[in-house]
This record gives sequence, structure tokens and C-alpha cells, in this order.
Amino acid sequence: MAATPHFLPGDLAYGSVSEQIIDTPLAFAQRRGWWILLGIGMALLMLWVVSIIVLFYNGVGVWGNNVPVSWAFAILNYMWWLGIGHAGTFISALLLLLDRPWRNSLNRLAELMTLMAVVCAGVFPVLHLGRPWLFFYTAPYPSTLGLWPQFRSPTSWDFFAVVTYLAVSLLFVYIGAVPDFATARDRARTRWQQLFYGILALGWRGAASHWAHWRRAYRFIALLAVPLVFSVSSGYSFLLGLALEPGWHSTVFPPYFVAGAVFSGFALVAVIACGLRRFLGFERLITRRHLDQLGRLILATGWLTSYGYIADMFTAFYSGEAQELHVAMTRLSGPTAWSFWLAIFCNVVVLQALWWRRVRCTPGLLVGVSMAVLVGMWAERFMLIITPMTRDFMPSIWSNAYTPTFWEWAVFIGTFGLFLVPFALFIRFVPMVSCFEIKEALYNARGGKHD
Amino acid sequence: MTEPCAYGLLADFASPEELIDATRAARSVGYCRLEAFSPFPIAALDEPLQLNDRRVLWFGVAGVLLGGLFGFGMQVYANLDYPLDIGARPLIAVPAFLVVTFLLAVLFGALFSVFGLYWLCRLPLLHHPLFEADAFKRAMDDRFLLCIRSDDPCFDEVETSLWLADRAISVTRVST
Repeated sequence: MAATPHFLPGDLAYGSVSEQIIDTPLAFAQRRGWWILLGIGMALLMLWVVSIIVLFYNGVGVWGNNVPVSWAFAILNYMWWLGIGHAGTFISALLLLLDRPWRNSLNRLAELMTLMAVVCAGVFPVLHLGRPWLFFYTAPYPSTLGLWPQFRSPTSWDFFAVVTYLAVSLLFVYIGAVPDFATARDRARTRWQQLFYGILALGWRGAASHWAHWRRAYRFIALLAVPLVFSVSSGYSFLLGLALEPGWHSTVFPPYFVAGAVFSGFALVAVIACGLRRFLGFERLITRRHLDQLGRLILATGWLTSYGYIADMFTAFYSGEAQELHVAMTRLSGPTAWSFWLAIFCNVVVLQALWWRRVRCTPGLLVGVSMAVLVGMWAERFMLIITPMTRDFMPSIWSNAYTPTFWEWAVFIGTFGLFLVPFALFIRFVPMVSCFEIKEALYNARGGKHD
Repeated sequence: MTEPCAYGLLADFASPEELIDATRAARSVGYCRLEAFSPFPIAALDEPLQLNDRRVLWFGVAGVLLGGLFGFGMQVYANLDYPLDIGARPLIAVPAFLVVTFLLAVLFGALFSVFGLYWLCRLPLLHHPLFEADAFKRAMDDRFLLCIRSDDPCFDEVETSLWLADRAISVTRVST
């Protein structure tokens, strides 16, 4: 246990860990900055609400979708957001099982990011329905129509995937935060705080018998969450595999989508980690070594994604099928080729900057590369989803007509508000670093010797 | 006992090692109704406190099995209830059904293990006699506490507090 590093300052006392993490929401100092953040979030959320009202009032006609390009922005953004969510589960569940204590500085913010990313993703399939008020048709329930969902279809799998993923992420982050809520309850200064954190803590006392149960339950859920990540993003790659479009049938898709998902998610974790450590002054808890480690993860998953680009293109050319070749050539040089080359530039070229330790350890540079990765992954989803639909089998339906409209952009940009407003509230009211797990990492590393 | 309504005696330690040592010592002296409190999980306490209860895992396993069974059964039922014959393809398409089966197994497994956790811990319980003790305020912060309950057969208020006072920073009497 002591062999795996936690990257925390060795002289950190347990009490000062609680002081730094738990007292941040209890006596919030950065009020001005926080109100600005919430204000930006609220403005974006208002944009989202307005664009939803416009969409529901007029129907999906306000979007640029047309007959060959029927999925367009909604599904693209759905996959982008859902992919981002995966990194949170990856950091908190997989690195927990692999016994990497440095994850303890990052798991809370990554899990909260996952939660909101899944919400942002989950709204898109509902929005792109022609009759969004009938979204519950995807749920199996005994209806008077006598009809059931088609369980052989990936669209039905998707409903279960999103619901399960949201529920499991919520349970995981909550049972992982209960002990911190208990610490906040005990340190609370006002009656209001005592009530708020007291109810959230469910009366947690830190008894050894409770911890023994907790540890087993936490690891068990982590064990369930790891294959869940793989199944959710493989699941939405099957959405493409199910359709007839050429260019959506490469067998590399499931692992390619998993790698891309985790890649984009690590990038957002890096952005949030750099932002939080500066905003809340957590430099001692989220150290440069943590950023270094995140940079390495981004680099590694970026190369896995690059392998996907190579394998996907290779398969298209190797197949020798005229239609596959046509789609591949359109990706490389058609009217939407910008999305392919933007993805390559951001996800392959810019990414290589992370080979330098100085880039990984300098928050500004790491955030720059991560932003590029987020843009690149979005462009990749565009290239994967939209380009093939413009080059269907019949030349008569080849189309260059798809361009996203103002309201499509508005819904997409608005989801950043849907992400940012709850996230700002988390920053204000939830300990953003797992306090007790930091103490646990310190204790295990000290290996029985106490300062 | 001078007052019959004592919940127990709460001893306060500054470090996890002192708590582990005191717990071991208390066990060897013969105390059996003990509870240790720490701000983070300490695996070394499992052995002296005999915390080898793995029921929470069985809750999880039961959830996984039940969820899988329910998920698969639901799909079979739905297909038999409204059969759709598409080119004579099998009605019960096992490979296609496994995705939802797996997802529901995970969902139920997670729900059951969380339920099991709080059931076995007897939580939520928003108030407890220990919360009245001032020393307990730091139980989730940076102190390590040991409580010997008054219903322990070896418990004697004077003897036990003297025994604890030898080791701990402070000893508090917790009333019910």
C-alpha cells in the first residue's frame, strides 16, 4: 500500500486536511468569483431553456436535420457528453480497484462531473424526438397499447444504459461523500449548516463496523461500475452499427468509442482540476504531480484513440468496397473534411505536447491541450456521425445540405449552462475533494508510523 | 454502577496506532461490546473487533442475480406477450437480450449493496447518544475514539474509566 504514491505533502496533518477541504463550503471565501461563475452558468442555462421552448413550439424543423442527415447535432452531442462522463467513473472506480491512492484527490470532482455530463447527454435523445412528450415509450411499462420496447434494438439498450449509468454514478458519489458530509456536520457553525449536512450525512458516526461494511460496498459498486463504462460506450457505438449507413460498421468501433470517451473525459477532468485548485486554493491537495499523472492518462488514451483513426481508415481502404471507400474519401476531402482534420490536429498533433513534463505540470498549458482535446473529440464525433449520412448508397441522396442552425448551436451551448449551474452549486456546498480518502491515503502511506 | 443510565465510556486518542493498541488491549482484557470510531477506514481494526461480516457483499450479489433475472425475464415476457415475427428470427434472441440483462444486473447490484450498507449500519439514524459527547465532535475530523458500552459484562464504571484513562487523552462518560 505504502508503495503507491499519493503525491500529497508528507507533513499534512489530518486536522489541516479537514480544515482545507471541509471548511471551504462551510465558510466560503471566494464569493465574488463564485457569483460570476454562477452568473455565466445561469446565462447559458437561460439560453438552453429558450432554445428548448423554441424547439418544442416549432418542432425539430428549427434544426438543420434533413432526410439523409437525420441524426445530426443531437446524437453527436449526446455521444460527446456521455463520453466525457466515462472518465469520472474510470478515475474513481478503476483506480480504486487498482489501489492508486493519488486518485483520492480527483475522484470527487470527477464523479460530480460524470453525474452532470450524463444529465447533459440524457436530454438530447428526448429533445430530438418528433414528439418529445412521448419519450416514456422507450421505458417498458404495461401500456394499454399492449406494445413493448424492441429489446433487440440499441435504441432500447441506450435507455437502460443512461438510466443505469446515472443511478450508479449517483449512488457511488453519494456513498463516497456521506463521511465528508458527516465531517461537515460536526464542523458546522450555524444551525442551518448542521441541519443541511446532518441530513445528508444520514447520521454517519465513523464507527469501525460501519467502515467495514462501507469499504466492501464501495469496492463492490466500483467493481460493477468498471464494466458498466465499457458497456455504455460500446452500446452507443452499436447504435451506429445497427444502421445501414456505410462507414458505421468498423469492428473497431466499441473499443475506439471507449478510448475516445475516456480520453475526452480526462481532458475535462484536467480542466476542472486546474480550475478548482486555483479557484479554491487546493494547490496542496491537487498537486502538480496529480496534473502530471492526468496528462499521462490523456496522452495514453489519446494514442488509443489515434489507433482507432488508423484502424478505421485502414479497414475502409482494405475492404475495397466502393461505398466504404467513397465515405472514407469524403471524410478526408469532402465538404465536411474540416471535422476530420480538426480531430486529427487536436487529438493527434496538439496532444503530443504532453510528452513534455513541463506541459503536463503547468496548469495553463495542460488546460490548453485539454481544451484542444475536447474540441477535437467533438469534431471526431461530427466526422464519424454526420459525414457518412451525407454519402448514402444512392447517389441521388448524396447531400451537402446539412448545416447546423442557430437553434442547434443554442441548444448545444446551452447544455454548458445545464452543466455549470449544478456544478457551481456543488463547488459552493459539497467538499470538492474527498477529505476522508485523503486522510486514508496519508495514513496508509505513513504505514503505521504516526507523526 | 452509580447511575444506571450510562451508554458507555468514550476514550479519546490522538493517533490511529494508539486506538488500534487500545482496542487490542481491551479485547485481551475481555471487553466485548466495543466500538472504535475513526475519520477514515482503518483495516487494522478489523481483526481485534472481529469485523468479518461480509453480508453487504451478499446483498450486492443478490441484487446482481435478481436484476439479471428480472432483466432477462422482462424481455422474454415482453416478446411472448406481443410476438413480432420478423423473417422467422428467434423470438427469444439471447445475445441481444444480454445487454439489458447486464445493465439491470448492475443497477440492481448497486441499489442492493447501498441498501444493504445502510441496513446493516442501521442508518439513517440522525441522533445517537454519542453525539452528545464533546469529544465525539472530532470523531470524523482528526481524533480516534474507543467506546466501551455499559452493557458489556466486564464493564464497571470506575474500573473501566481508570483502565481507559491509563491510555487515552481523555475519558468521557456518555449518558443515554
